[in-house]
Amino acid sequence: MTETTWRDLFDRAADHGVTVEDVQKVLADHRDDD
Amino acid sequence: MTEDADGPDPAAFAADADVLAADLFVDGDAREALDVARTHDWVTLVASEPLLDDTEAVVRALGDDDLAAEWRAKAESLATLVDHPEGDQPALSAAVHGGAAHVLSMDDRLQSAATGAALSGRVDVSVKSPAGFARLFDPETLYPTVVGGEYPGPDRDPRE
Repeated sequence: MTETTWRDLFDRAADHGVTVEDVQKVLADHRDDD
Repeated sequence: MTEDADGPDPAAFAADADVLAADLFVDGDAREALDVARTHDWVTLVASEPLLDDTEAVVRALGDDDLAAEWRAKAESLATLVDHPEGDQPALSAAVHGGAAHVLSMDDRLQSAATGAALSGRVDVSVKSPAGFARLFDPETLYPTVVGGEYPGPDRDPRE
């Protein structure tokens, strides 16, 4: 089995259209729930 | 703490979950900072299970389950995992227990917390933004001290 490359992960992640602000909000919500 | 008498390793850093997730999703400062570790096998990215758990949860929420699982496996292959007490701020504690000199975060509150802890002598790490780290971390200057000899340039493909 071929190991996933960072290039592949970045390409697939880019399809989700996520921003830095999205990341910060979801992380803050996640940690608030803990 | 695992750091030795010489202090934390200037070629080791931890990145908080916001930076790790931004590295994956956004081609910007976070990716440039993480590329420092991906391109140099003598530069250590320190992480912990709680830190990867937080990041994986963010990737699952903003991406999908497969992406989160594959990111986790890839991150574990890049990072050196350390243990730290439950309830600690994971990036800060991973850096302290992994003997790393730097913590990367986009959260100003972590910067303040680390500054306060440093002033009280409890930790010896510097919290930086990804952009600040990418700007200040100079492999060519650090290599002779950390590894020895003349800097040979990047030794790994950061996209593999």
